[in-house]
Amino acid sequence: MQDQVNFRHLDTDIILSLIEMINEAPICLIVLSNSCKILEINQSGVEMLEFKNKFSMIGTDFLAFIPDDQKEKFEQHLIAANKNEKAGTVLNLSTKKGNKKWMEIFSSSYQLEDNKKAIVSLIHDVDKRVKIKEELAKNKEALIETERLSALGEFASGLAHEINNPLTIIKTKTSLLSEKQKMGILSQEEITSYLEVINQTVDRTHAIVNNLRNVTRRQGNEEELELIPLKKVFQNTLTICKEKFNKAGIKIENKISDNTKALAQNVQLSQVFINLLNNSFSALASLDEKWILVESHEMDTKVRISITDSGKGIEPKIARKIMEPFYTTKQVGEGTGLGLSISSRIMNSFDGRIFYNSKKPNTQFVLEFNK
Amino acid sequence: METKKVLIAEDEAMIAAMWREAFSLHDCEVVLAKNGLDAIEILGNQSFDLLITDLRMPEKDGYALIKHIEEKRINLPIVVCSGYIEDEALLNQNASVKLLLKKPVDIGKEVQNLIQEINPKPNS
Repeated sequence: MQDQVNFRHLDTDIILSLIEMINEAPICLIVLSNSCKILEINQSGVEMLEFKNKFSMIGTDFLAFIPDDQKEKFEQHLIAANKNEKAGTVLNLSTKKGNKKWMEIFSSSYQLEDNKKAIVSLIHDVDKRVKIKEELAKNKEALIETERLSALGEFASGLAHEINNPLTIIKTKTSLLSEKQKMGILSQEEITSYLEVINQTVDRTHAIVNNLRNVTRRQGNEEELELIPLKKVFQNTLTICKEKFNKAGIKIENKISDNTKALAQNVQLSQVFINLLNNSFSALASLDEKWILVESHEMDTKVRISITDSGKGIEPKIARKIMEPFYTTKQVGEGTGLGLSISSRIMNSFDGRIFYNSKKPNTQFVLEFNK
Repeated sequence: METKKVLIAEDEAMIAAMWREAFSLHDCEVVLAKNGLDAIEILGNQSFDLLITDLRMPEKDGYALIKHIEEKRINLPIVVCSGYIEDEALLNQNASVKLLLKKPVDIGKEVQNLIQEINPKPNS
């Protein structure tokens, strides 16, 4: 090739300084034969692969550094290089000492003087980078999990109340039954009515626990969308959190029409409702007028659910950012700033969307679904 | 023995009805209030020997009701019965609060004990 440097025309000094540069470069430079034997390697490469010196490496098989699970990826990489596609690949290489490190490799085909083909590769240690990336991904996942649990935790206290009430009913009814029996003042009708109450109360407790299980259960994305009754999903979500809203004096009105159905997923949608209700809860705390109104709006191929609260809307400069992950107006420790971004992600997974409707005098979020 | 009057502030109708039933077995007169606000209104024109109150209620909650009773210096022993009692602070900070009952409770048994408290023993 004409544009290649012909070393024979260069001064010895220049050649020596070039060799020194190649050896000192903070990157592994390696020449491999067609059968992947090491023909040449610079000093950085020797150190990177944890050899004592370069002479013990020359002629050895480069494939020895590539663990079995990475071999196919490496072969693909070589095929690309032979086609002169300068593709880069990240491989988990195993050094001479058996340490595994993530390395990025760039290769291209190279013509030797005897017309044989070789591969020239640059190998760069990206182990730290890859590990940091993995760590970040893991943290993000953990944070999303935390958000899910905190939404749940906020309702846990209300839930305890919800369950302790029916338990009080059962406990007292059974005790009254035996007390009255001892006193000899228990009629057949009373027995029937007591047992009926106990039975209904068990069903009610079961319904509460069931709803909780729906919200906490993890579900993969592979779960298929189905046409679900939106009013019922909202009502179920309310059963596990209405206590908290009642206590705060927030009236929630569910005006979703009975037959409104949309393509969604029960549990995930419940999470969206919880996130929006939670946001309203925080926003309404300081207001005198406290209500949340949930309505459905049928369109040709879509259904919209609007969740409006008595708040007076969101400032435009804040409204622009609310869907961004980690954006929060709550005090440190009170919100993760993930509620709306998770809701948005969930709505996207339904092929729908969530948006803030700035055209209303009150704060309104709209969920749009396909039907 | 004069009839004792008990006020129950409880938003859960079924539980309120059980308090009524249990106290009635001991010949007490029972008045039910759906929430704190309701109870405050009733306290405005009737006097009672005992108040049983829940904490979490719509309109005015149990805390607000207790505060009202203390501020107005109404002489009324209070029993708090709730599934949401996190600490003993209520008992320590409010002289009127005599007892904390954590749900789930056996209302029948609790009423038996409470009756002993509000009816002075014959020889004392």
